[in-house]
Order: sequence, then C-alpha cells, then structure tokens
Amino acid sequence: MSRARIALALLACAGCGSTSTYHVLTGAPGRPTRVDPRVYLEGASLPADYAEVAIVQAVGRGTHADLEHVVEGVRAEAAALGCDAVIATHADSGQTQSSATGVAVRWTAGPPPGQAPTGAAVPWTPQGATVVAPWATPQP
Amino acid sequence: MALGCAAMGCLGVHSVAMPTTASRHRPFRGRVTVSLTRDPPGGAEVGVVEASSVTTIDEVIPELVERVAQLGGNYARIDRIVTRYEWVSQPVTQSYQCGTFRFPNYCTRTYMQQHEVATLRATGRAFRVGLP
Repeated sequence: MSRARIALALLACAGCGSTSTYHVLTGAPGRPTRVDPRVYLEGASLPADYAEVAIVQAVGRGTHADLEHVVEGVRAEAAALGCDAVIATHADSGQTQSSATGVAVRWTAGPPPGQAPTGAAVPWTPQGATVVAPWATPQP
Repeated sequence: MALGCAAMGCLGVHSVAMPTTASRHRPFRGRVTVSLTRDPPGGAEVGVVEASSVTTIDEVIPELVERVAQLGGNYARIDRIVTRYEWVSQPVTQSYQCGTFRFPNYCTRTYMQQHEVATLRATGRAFRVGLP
C-alpha cells in the first residue's frame, strides 16, 4: 500500500467513531430545550425536588468510546426530552466501547443555584456546559 | 457485537425474578411506575429482579418491569445499571478464490476473531404500593 493510501486510511479512521443514545420514559417528557442539562454523577448531592422523566443511555464506539462522548450523549438525550439534568450518572468503559446511563429529570421547585431555568435561551455550546464530574474542565 | 453473539446464541434478554416474602401475588396488569432513585413511600417489597442483555436499556428495562409485574409489583425500583465488557473469540469462516484463471476454484478457511461484547445488566426490586 502506498504512503498516500495509508495516510488516507488513517485520515478516514480518525473519524471512526459513533455515539448512540437511548431512553426509556418513566415520566412525561417536555419539549426539547436548549438549556444545557447538568450532569450529576451517582452519589452527588442533589436538590430534593425533581421529577424523573426517563432513563437515558449513551453508547460510544471507536473514537467515541470515552467519557467525554457518552456524557455528552446522555446530556443531549436529556435535552431532547426537555429535562434540566441527568442524575445518578454512571459510566462503564471497555477498550472499544463506553456506556453511560443516568436519569433525566426536571426540577420541580426551580433550578438549583447556578443553573438557568428550563426554557431560558442559553446557547448550546460546549463552553456553556456544566458537568459535575471529576473529569470536567474547570469553568473560568 | 450482535453478530458475535448470534453465533454464540446469547441474543435476547435474560431475566430473573425472585420473591423475597412468603406471600405470593397475582401478576399486576396495570401501569408500573419506574424509578432509579427513590424507594416508594409506604411500599412493600415483594421481590428482587434482574435483566441482562447485549442490547441497550430500551430492551432491558421493559423486561425488568415485566418481571416486577409478574411478581405482583406496581413499582419497579431499579438499584443499578451496569455494563460489563469482555472479549470473546468466535470462529469466522471465509471463502476466497484460490484457483487460477483457467482452473477457478473456491476455498474456505476458518479463523478465530475477537470481539468486545458489552452486557448491560439492570437489577432492582419489586414493590407493591397502595395494593392489598
């Protein structure tokens, strides 16, 4: 194989990854929101007033088999269900796949401090994302 | 993943339900409430349930809920959802041309191929809430 073909194959494989998301409804979903749902790991302290909407899962494969992609996957799935947060988030990783599961919820007594209320027009940007997790990039 | 499992015959959702009390109840036919974070206030635990599969939550959770209903429960409290990964080998048979232009022929060869298989397992408890 020529060097050009090897380079092309490597370039093609740089994007060899996918993230799939799933959910099982356990409550009434809302309209998709542009608010960045906050992600809480299992064991994190939570506001008491929330309503469970769905169990969400993200599966990353290939170059997406990492925490970053699966956490972003559950967050996106929760946003599509009109939720404010993903709680009890748990991630498992293999060598070629990763998976994260959590519970998409809506706050029933207003958002906790530091999170915009549902429906607020917050731009969907990675910089705006808030992850309550050890691997989260510190917010400026 | 599914291909590898199809060869091993492990497709489908496996589930178990075990009562944890002496009393037995008829299967519950109504809507089962599902929670991953809260025990039901005033609920009576009637059993433990588990479902696992190489698929995703949209197949495993409904199976778990069905098991809860079979125990007579109307509240499924899911305690844990974990995914375990393991490498499995399976034989792969391949056909290829091994003849010449004048004498075409096909040969087959079998070799072992490794796949990482993810198994999703959900465990929980069945509760009866507001039922006699």
